[in-house]
Amino acid sequence: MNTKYLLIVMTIVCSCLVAPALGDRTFDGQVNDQWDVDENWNPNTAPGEGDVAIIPTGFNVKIDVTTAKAKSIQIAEDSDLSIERGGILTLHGNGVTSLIGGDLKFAGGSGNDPILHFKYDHTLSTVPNELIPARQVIGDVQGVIRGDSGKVLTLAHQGNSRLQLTGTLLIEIALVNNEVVNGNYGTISLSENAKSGSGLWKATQGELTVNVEVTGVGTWEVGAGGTIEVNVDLEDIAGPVHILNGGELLLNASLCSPGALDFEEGVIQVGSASPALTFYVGGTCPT
Amino acid sequence: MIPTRLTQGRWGSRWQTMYGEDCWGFAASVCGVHGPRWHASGNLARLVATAVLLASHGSAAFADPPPGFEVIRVTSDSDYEGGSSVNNCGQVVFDRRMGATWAFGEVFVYDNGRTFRLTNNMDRDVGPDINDSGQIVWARGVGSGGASMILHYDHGDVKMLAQNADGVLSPKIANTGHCTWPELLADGCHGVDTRILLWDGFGSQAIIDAGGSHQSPRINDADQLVWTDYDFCPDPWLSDILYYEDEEIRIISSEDPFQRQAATVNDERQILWDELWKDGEDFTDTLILYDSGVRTVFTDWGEIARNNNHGDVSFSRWYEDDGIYRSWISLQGTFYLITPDPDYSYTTDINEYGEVTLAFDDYPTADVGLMRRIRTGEADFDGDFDLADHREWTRCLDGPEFLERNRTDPTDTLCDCRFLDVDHDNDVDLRDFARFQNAFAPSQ
Repeated sequence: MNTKYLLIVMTIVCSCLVAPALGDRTFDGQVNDQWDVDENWNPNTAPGEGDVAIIPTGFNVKIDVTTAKAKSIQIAEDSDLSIERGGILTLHGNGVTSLIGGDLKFAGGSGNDPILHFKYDHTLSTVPNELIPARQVIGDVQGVIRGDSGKVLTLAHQGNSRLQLTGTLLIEIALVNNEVVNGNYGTISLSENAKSGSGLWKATQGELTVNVEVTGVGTWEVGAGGTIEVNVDLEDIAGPVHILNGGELLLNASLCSPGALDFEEGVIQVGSASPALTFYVGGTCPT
Repeated sequence: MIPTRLTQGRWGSRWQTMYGEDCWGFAASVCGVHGPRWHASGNLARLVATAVLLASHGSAAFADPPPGFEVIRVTSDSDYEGGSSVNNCGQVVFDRRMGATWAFGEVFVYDNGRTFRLTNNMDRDVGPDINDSGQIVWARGVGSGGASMILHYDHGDVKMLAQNADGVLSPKIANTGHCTWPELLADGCHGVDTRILLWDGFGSQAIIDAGGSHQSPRINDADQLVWTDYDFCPDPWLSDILYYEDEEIRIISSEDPFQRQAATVNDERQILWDELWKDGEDFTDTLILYDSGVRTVFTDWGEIARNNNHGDVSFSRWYEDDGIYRSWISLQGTFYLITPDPDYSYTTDINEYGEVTLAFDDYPTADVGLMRRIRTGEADFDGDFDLADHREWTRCLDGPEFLERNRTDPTDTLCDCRFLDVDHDNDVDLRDFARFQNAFAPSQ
């Protein structure tokens, strides 16, 4: 085949192929610790909605009173990402996983509650082969975890480390908790969209407030200094409920589970609405 | 005496005879973009390799660096180096992280095979830039703090151009000695607003002070500036590309709500920047060329462009399957893949000779690379060894170890005479001349 002709054909065919997706941005903190500074990233532009934002080991990156976005994030062990009051981090990846090897924090500052916003279905997971037992998404101040309508956030883990949502959080997005949601030294409110999953719903030295339907085989556990407050009927849960020494289960609505009740010197307090607390061990809750 | 540095414009016509006769291109008519052009010569193996590259990655030309160029590592170690830029003398400045954080960052100068450390302290010295006179600017943070000073080095003299407790970002310097940098402001709805300053050799003035996060300015030799104006207040954030000329600022990007970043301008007022184009959930990072008031797509697959006054453009492309960037150059309209090896690399700067600095980034280590001209004894790179080259030999010829014996400052350089230092030993001596003499053919 004539060389020029071959090249023409190849160019016509190949020039019209779809260009690949976008790249990634690695934080190197060259100038300071702020997310929204071009030169703190390699290559030298702040992440956009198509970029994976990678925070390697050893950084404490801040999103202060600003909006940040990325396709997904990867936080390495011994690094933190803090969304301060007034700050918003929106993750635009659809069906992708963000890796939490360090801590993702909602921290101080001034302004509105910091927000972690998911535009599409997304998974938060620990990093593979992690030996440290837990990585956290933690609300030192009230952090809002929000999603676009109908979108789902799934909690997962890889390796030995579990992922824990803890501190003070307002979880609005539909959540599949296959890990740990722990109202610990703060208050976690489950609101807006239904939750499910096989993970642990827990309150120790803090509160877990249930304001939306929760389903699934997850375990419920309230420990010393903790309160789980049920404000909507929980009649489609299937896991056991552990009320440990010093824990309180506050029922303002009915709770029914085919799982076991493990009661250890805790308190079951029934609200004024006289809700029912029923355990059909080995059976099913009546509809 | 150290040989003179480059005289602006003396290479102005060299490109017309380099590749023009052999090139033919048509992709612009296929997809409406500045696309790859094709070199008609080459053997079948090269053709197949190119075809494979095309099939894999869509828009391409040659899967190797341009003829007459080679890629070297300026650094090759376990440290983290970056922030590199190159001037027309082939000098490369970069910063090196001395440890786990940038709290101990230092600035280095590379010239013709030698590397010199310019700073030596316990501060954060980062983001250097160098002009053809060897003047260097960079940002410094004291102790573990963020960058808060702009420093200027000129043949041993260091002065502070600015200090701002709220913070500064890395500066850029033109061949006029004028430079620009962003300063952080602790106000605005962001709390992280920045303004752009221009230093004219005597004092600095704010080019833009109004709300917005004005970042990553670039300056040419006519004091024309471009930068990104981020608006981080809305969710999602927006950005525009702003252009400054003769005390006027105007938005040169379109009204479409794209994410735009990384603008660059040459002395011909040709401006390039990144734009994120979104089609549903699909993205393309597109390079836009703004020339004489007209915006066109330079390539629909590229980021982080730098251009020289000949219209050559260095840029980078993301390869999704490999999870890496690779470095590219458009040289006289022909696209070349600078880094075909599976290294993560992207381009950081380009000079008038088409030499390009590269970042080989493999965090937590990163090296600085340079695509430079291969030295053959030819001075003007027009494909022959003739009297025009001989005139340059006459001008540049010195003696053994000339620069090593006469260097008084890290920024002393052979400059454009480096191309006649065929054996890279920092002189233009008879050993180098012998190579030229053997090839000399004035009738070609």
